[in-house]
Amino acid sequence: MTGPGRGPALTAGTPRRAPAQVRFTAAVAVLAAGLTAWTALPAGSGRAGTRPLLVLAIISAVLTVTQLAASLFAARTEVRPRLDAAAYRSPLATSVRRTAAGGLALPWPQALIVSALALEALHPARPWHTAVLGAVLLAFVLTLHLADSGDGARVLRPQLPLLVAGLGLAALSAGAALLPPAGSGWLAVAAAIAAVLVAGLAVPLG
Amino acid sequence: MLTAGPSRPAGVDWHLSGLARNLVTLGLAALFLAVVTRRPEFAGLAAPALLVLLRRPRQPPGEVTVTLAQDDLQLTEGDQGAVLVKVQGPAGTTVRPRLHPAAWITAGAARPGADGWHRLPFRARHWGSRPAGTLELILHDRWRLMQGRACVPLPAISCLPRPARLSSQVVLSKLPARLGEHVARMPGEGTEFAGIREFVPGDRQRRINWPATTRRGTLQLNTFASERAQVTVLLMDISTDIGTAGESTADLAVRATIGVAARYLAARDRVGLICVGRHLRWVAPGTGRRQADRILAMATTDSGDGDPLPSVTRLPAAALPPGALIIVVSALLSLRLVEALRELRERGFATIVIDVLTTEPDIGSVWQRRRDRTMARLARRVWRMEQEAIRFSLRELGIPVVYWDGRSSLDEPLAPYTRRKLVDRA
Repeated sequence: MTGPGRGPALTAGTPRRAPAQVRFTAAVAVLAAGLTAWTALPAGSGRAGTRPLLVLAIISAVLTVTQLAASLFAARTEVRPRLDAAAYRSPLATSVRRTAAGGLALPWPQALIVSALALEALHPARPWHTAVLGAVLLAFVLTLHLADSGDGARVLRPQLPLLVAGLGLAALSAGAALLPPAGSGWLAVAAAIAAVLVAGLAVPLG
Repeated sequence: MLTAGPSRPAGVDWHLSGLARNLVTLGLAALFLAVVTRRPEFAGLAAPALLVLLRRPRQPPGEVTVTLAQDDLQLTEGDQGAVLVKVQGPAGTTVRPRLHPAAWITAGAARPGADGWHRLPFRARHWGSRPAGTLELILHDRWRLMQGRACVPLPAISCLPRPARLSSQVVLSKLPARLGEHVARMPGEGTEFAGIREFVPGDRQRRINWPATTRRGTLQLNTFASERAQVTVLLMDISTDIGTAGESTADLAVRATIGVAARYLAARDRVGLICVGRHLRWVAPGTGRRQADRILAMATTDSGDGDPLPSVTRLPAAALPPGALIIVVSALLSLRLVEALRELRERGFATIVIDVLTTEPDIGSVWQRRRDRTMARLARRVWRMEQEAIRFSLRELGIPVVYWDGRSSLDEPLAPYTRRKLVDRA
């Protein structure tokens, strides 16, 4: 059964399996929790502003997982629109629902990423710690996408060389930061950014 | 049946995907912190995100080709059907379809099938011909950085009403002289043994009962009952429609009418329909599959033909052949119809009413004032008494009224009249 349309028939990323999506959601929850805990360590060594940022990170992590679970529940439940007569609600219930929906619609994953990075910056410099945080953050972002889209990990195969190269650069920059400073910090940062750009242009892709 | 064209283009609205937004956030925040804190490890942390983002693809095409089909051609209330969708577009793009159903159907999760077809199951909860809803397509490019959204309105789907179950029949004691399958009291050419009588010249010799002839000494003949067809006219009253959608009085009336018509047509009776809605429409009694289709079409569609109900003074005589059994399916809320039933009875028709009134006036919630609720209760009590009076007056006229709740089989309420033949005492 083929139509006269242009191009090949589009398929789902991989056959969608609900348990896999549940597993990805659980993985997102674990990664969000680990991320928050990792950036909070070591406790008490952060500068001023660490505590509010930690609270923001925890709230963001919880609401990210809630957001994901809600969309997963909505996708797995049969959609049954209410008829008009049954759709009337009290103003209080309506406002509560609107507030909850509006709160869940905010970009909580991005808030979690920013707060985690800011927490890391508020702690004393530990390059290996930051490199591990980078790996966990990347895993969180990719797993979140898989859980949200319902596709399998196979859809990320085209990006694999870039991700490997990026992680290599992250390891290199962490290693460079461990060495005794040869010049100003600006120079090291500029060198790292230049390395990223060069790698982006050089990595071959099919 | 889905009446979509073979293929159609659908415009796609592309924007950054959630993955891309998160990677941008990660990369920019890490770069910002690297510059502010002068810590190169943050620039390294941004490397994977920036490398992926540097491969941002060219602008994806603005439209894809969508092909729609339906697997079940005939759909009845409560049946599960499925919309099949195939999307064609640039290579490497993945698609996730989702059905946003109209209020009368329930949609399930989409499942990818073979050969690029996606199956979107749904369950029709209410008969009729209405649009099924909207098909939403979520597309991702090869790098998962761009996400597209396309909406395709689905065409109307026709769903037939679920006929009421009926396995027995109300049969009149006197049937018109038409060949059929109901055993009549009159002797005739049927297969049902009726008795023995003395042979008279002209009788068929093959019907001679030889044992009886031997016993009595004269030629005795077997006689058989004639088999006649009944003329049944259904009067479907949908002039008032109260109750929740899907279980309203009109819904029940349509289901009962379709079920009764199917049962009588299966018994090779002649069946006609008078539809009392906004207009008065009717189908003269007939038999066969085409008559079933005519009755189904009239019961389920409002073509706008016929005489406007306010201008009608009496039921059409051509739709009411003499000796017909009239089965009325009504909530008995229209006093004009009640008067018409009285007139039918006066004209000598055997009539039986299937009452489909399953709801009562609402007296409001507990939050209303006590006095208002008391008045509402009183009004409902008066309304109940009026309904009782209407049904009592019909029974007094010799018109049985049976109640059907819409869920059980129609055999239960009609049982007192299907066990024996209905004697027409007009």
